[in-house]
Amino acid sequence: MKYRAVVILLLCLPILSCNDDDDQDMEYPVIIMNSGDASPLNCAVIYRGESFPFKAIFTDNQELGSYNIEIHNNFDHHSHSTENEECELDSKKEPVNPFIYNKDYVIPTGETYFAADNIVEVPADVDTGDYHFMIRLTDKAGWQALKAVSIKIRDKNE
Amino acid sequence: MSFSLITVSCSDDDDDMPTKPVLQLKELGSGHDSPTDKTAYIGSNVHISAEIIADGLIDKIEVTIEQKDGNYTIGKVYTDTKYAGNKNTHFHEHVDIPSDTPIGNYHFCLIVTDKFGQTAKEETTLTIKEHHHAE
Repeated sequence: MKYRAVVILLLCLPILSCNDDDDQDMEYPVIIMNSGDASPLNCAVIYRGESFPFKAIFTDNQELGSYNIEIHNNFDHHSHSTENEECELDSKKEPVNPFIYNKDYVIPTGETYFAADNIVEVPADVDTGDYHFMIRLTDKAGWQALKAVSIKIRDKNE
Repeated sequence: MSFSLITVSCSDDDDDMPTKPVLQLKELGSGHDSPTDKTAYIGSNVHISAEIIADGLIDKIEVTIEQKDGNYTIGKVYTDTKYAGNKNTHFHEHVDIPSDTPIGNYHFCLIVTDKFGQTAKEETTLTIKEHHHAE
């Protein structure tokens, strides 16, 4: 009797052992910014000395991981592959005190859906002009989705 | 019978290392106007853009710029979480070319290392020139 139980147990082991492989995540997470309150939208104008919201929906087939927001200037008119709409750009110029932002954010574990809602402060003394707002979303498996949004920083008094 | 089944079951997976990282240098140049001119200007920066896939997850991304007929070297290692720990990434960075950099030809190298120590690299020549003013 005991022997039979051991045999049954051992027969079951191989089936259990390979579960991980079947679950292997091969899909990228998704950044959704087409809902009414998504922000910033492409070509948005933001004022220095003020703050603006970052709002987006993140989804993944298995589990979300983390995200990063990075802002860099586009004073030299470069492009990123994710953009499809061109915004009207200011003249090219050399940066003096460009706005630089680079921050990591965590997503609670176990989520396949997450509504990101953060505030980004723009210092009052940064260069006005064209910038890129980059969103990098990574799922638990390590797949990363990138979205680049063009924004313009202005001075309210100009 | 039951013992043999267990030993066969997962042997393939345990022995295998993940696939080596794949690196594709898309752009290397003085700016976004001329992203692929393989030139950089002193006091400015060099624009680098690459696509990376690392089944074994990215550990670090290194940029080295070494003078061909001299010892001047510019190097930078990226371990930021926007890259490290990922299976894929769009690498886009600007590396400063300090004002004391000698002009001339440099050996440019971009190396990605995964968490298993496996690497992929791309090499090319980068020319460093005197300061150049924007339009």
